[in-house]
Amino acid sequence: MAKYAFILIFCFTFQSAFTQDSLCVFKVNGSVLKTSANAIQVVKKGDYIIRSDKFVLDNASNILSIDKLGNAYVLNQKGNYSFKDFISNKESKSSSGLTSKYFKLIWKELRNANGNATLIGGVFRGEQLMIFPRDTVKIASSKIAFGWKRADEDSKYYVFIRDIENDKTAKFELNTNELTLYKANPIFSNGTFFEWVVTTDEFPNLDNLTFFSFELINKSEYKSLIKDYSAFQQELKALGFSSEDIKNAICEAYGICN
Amino acid sequence: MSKIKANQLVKDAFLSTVMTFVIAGILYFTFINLAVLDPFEKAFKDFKFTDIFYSERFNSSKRSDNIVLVNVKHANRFELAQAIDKVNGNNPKALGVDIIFKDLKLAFTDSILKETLSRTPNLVLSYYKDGDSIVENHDYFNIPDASKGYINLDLEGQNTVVRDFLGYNKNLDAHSFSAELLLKSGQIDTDFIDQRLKKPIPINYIGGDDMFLSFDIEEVMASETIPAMKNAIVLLGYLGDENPEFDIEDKHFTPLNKAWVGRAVPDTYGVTIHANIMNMFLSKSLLYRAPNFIIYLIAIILCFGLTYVTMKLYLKNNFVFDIIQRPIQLVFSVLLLYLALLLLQTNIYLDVIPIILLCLLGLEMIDYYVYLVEYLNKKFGWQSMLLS
Repeated sequence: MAKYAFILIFCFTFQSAFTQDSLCVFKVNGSVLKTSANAIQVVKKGDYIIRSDKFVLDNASNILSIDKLGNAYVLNQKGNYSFKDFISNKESKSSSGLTSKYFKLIWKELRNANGNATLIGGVFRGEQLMIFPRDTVKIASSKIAFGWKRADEDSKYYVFIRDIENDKTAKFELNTNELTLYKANPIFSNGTFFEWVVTTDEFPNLDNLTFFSFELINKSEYKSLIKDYSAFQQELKALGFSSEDIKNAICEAYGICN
Repeated sequence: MSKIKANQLVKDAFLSTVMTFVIAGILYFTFINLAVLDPFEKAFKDFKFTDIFYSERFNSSKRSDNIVLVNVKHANRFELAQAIDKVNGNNPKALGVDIIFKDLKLAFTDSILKETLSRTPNLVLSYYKDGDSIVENHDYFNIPDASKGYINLDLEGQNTVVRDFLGYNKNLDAHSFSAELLLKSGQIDTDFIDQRLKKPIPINYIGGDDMFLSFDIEEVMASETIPAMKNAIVLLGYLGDENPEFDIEDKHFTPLNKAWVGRAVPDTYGVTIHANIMNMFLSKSLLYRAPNFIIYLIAIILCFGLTYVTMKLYLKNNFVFDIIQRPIQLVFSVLLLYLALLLLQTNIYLDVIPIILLCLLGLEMIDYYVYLVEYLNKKFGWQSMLLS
């Protein structure tokens, strides 16, 4: 009896490992490489990955794949992985079922815990101090330089950098209008998508401020992204611009910065 | 309580239930026929308790790679032709173009697009019915081998929230865009559409475009191949350009909206709605709508049972009855809605609103029933357990 029970448990435990032959890549952030039949390839959305594939995840990279049944698997830590490692990383979902979610909602409604959403009849057109990185850019550099306009002569500036994915905000007080942070800074260790704002108010209501967002990418992503603008680069080269000027122009025009 | 008294109470509960249904009928027809009450009727149509299921993401949906979405943004016809060519190169099962090329633009790019469309196998184009007229592609883009499906999401009796879809429209004698794509991809056959999809079916939403494998048109054009497109149904449509938060082009109200009462901002792109419809068939999660007969039968049984139990309480202690009448109504509504959501989880769609309303009205009617029997007792000597 115990033998059969063991076989059953074994079968259920390793069921997914035996039944999944391939996974479809649903989402990739950062740089994920796969070794397939001795060839190294960049993993892209829409690719299939098979049992023999091995993966290398760079810093701040993540990949989400799904199997035929729609079950999702996630890798989000730097390292080398096999297919088996991948399918053992099933996406963690909220463990609460319908009953728990429903009665929590009813309880919230009864307590009116959701409150009333703030409703305003206007738009923000405040003078923004931020200069660079400008809004919605991709940055590949190992250090990120923040720059902003000066307000008054003896103003103090408060820079807020928010990790969007992990909802963490870091605050800096400065007397100058520049701040340079290295990618190795703990603020940037867990995420890829960030936003920032600078203000002269020490304790502002962050909901009232317009943030600029930026995404951290790696060098290989940068290279593949600027490939799309090769015609633009060649045109500038023909006009005599230096490679540094061309990089700056791409950063300015297309928001892909190194 | 003696058996005679118990029978008398059953009779009272039954008559009170009948009175509830008569009054509800009168109120319902007043609502429908009085133009002044139109806004209330429309407001009620906008709201369904079961929307909570999708709005609060009670369903544990799974992502799909059988349907691939391509966001065409505001690409020109030349770019569209290039993207269609790229998609064709990946051998999808079917390709749906959720875009209407109403007019001719530049002769050169129009000819390229036409040429590309005409060599696209398993192509489904779109059109829609607006009043009495049909809005479709310019005749120039009529591709003989391509199928066409209507993209209307409006249904008779359905307000602005897209909850149902109709696969076969009798008046048009035509199939919907999603039904036609399923047909082209070999997922269903014509008989199935004509027999099973001629009545509206509730859409079993799995979520927005983040639940489907989706690409921007630039990504498609820049890719050599996209293996996931092979044997998938590919849909070309609009999924927003910049600032998706403020973009409402081809965006609609669905039960996925975060605000399940008083929706103000549309939530789901039309092409994602088509994808959700098709996903129901591909994942074999079609919703079975409980017929009205079952709904009203449940309403009668529950209304009668609730009336009987509360009448018993009324007889025991009128004061307690008055105090706990409202809490009973609240608890009963919460439990009924819970039951409806559990059923929805097993793909059974039960319209719970009539049941809840009739049961709540049934409880309110007990006091009026008491007045009525008192009057009838004085006039005709009518007997009731509820007479003091």
